[in-house]
Amino acid sequence: MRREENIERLIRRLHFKAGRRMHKRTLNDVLAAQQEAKRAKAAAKGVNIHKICTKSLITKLAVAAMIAMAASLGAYILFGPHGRTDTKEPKGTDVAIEKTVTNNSHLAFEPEVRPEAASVDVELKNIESMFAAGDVEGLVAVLSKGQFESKVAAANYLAKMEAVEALEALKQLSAEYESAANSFAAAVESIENQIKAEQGASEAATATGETDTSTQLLAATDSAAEGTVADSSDDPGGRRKVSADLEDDEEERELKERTEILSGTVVDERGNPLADVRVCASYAHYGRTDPNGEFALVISPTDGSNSMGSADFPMYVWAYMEDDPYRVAWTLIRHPDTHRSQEEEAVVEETHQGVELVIEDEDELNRNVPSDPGELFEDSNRGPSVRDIVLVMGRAGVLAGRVTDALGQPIANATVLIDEMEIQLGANRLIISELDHEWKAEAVAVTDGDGYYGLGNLPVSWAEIKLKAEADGYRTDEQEFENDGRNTVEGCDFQLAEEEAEDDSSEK
Amino acid sequence: MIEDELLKLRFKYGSREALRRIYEKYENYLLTLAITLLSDVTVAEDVVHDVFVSFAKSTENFRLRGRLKSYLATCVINRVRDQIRANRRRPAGLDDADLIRSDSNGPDELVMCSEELHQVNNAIARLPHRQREVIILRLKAGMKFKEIAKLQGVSLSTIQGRYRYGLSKLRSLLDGEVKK
Repeated sequence: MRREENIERLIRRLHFKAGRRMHKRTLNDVLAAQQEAKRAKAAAKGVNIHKICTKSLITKLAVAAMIAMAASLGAYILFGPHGRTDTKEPKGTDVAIEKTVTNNSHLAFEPEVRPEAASVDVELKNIESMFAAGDVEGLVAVLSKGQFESKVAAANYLAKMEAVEALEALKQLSAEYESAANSFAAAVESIENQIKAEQGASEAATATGETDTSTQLLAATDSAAEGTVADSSDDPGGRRKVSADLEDDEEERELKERTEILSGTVVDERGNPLADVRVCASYAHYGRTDPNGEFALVISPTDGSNSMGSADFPMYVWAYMEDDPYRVAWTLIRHPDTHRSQEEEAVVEETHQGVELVIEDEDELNRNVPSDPGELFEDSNRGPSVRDIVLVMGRAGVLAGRVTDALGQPIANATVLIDEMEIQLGANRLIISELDHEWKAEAVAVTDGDGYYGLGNLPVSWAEIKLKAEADGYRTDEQEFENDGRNTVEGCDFQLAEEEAEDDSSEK
Repeated sequence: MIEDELLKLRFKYGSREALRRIYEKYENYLLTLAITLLSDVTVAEDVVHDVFVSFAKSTENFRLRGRLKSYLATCVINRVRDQIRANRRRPAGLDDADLIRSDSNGPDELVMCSEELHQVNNAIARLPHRQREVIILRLKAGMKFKEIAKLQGVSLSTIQGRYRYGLSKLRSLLDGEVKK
């Protein structure tokens, strides 16, 4: 008799591989389609050498200088020395062309100069993608280098992103272009307002380790120093808004998406924020903490978890530093509505991604979940978010061992991954499974040349871990290990049998 | 994960290599999805083909914040549904001959992994389409019951029912096969 679970597992392992003919045919068609799409696009817009040239800054400047020189030469011929324009001014090349052109609009260069508009197009497109990628630095760079239109666009985006970093640059521009309908000033104002608002909010909020960082920042920034601290401590807030804004922009998307955000801080045992810590959650994009120990992870409904709806609870979130396998910070986030269910016995909460929580005793659970799981906010526009998570770094367990073949020879580059991990929380159990390559790749170790591996950053309360060892040309092996109270187990060795020729491994 | 983000960006700017990589990375996954949903290898290949071709054409208008893999999976799922609806094709059971097992260097056919999986696949092909869809979307595409319910336009409990019935039908099919 087969059990249903067994069948589920089998189906998960079912893989087809494209035949060579299909592979080639499709790939060719796909590449051809791309080519054609590009061509169609180019044809629609008119093939434009300038557009291509202007993609690179150097050629762009070169072309601009050429045009400017040629134009001024033309101007010189036509008008004599008075028509000269200054091409030496470093930033002025673009401006210079415009000036020359307006002065000499009857010159043959006129159609040549049209591409200037195209180059703005390109810049605007770049700016848009920078905005989409949250690239504040890039946008700030545009503020100093770009053409006027680009600057305005960048300023508007930066205002939307509430990018405090850009404040100085924006202020300068706002002074420089005082007369022009001043979007720079507007941007400055909007960012400053935001800072004020968030300052108010964050004053009431955490005081965790903000003192030492704030002094640094005070030194680093001048007028808006206090605001900066308030804002950067709420940096995830900024990102949150970016993604929310993006949603408005992308109406034509095929998938209706909402974006959930997990945000919080990682601190050490004494409460000092930890920078550059990697943070992972069952459904989220990976992230890192900033210098203030803050992180924000985006969970888009179509992320690698294959989840196409909103995030599920309970959710396992953990953080670690790559160079230290003996420390980890983690917590368990549950939906607030599920917390009050003491009456029943052995409640099971489960997500479709393999996090399962068996609750025997609610109080004990609350006592035993480390760190602060934060608070859930439901916002009808943005989707839910979990804020103010505080992950406290603590000790971790490590599994280490060696992978060899049947003869005892080491196998290098074998992967050892956690297939399932059971964590004991008082009388309750938390089972995390489906720790596969696809999206929880953090629970994977690779053997070195001598076949050794180490898997670290395991919560110390782990009770049982099932490991899976895989290597090309060998049969996959699974073993279960129990925590004997020392949290770290050495000698988790695997001996892999060679694979028979016809049994092509189904796992990648 | 980061690779996908980069691929998306490079693809958006028309990179041929990025597109090739995306194709190679997800071809088998999507094909598996399509075959298990359709139980017709040829049609499944066409579906994957078409999905990628229209994906390739989207180059400059391409804007996607979500994950590439799920996006492509959704495209396949939708196209499979279109196929089934348009052709009113009652997906035919898989001919055993369709699934020639061979090693990965085999010239021109699909590769199945083991006898057991082969049987599973044949059993899936014998499920009524609705049950099969629920099972595949849940297990291979990782969708939630709630989402599947929305897609099929029926209630959550119906979906869960279909899933359960589907699985137990599979079980009896497989057990029957073992006895044979």
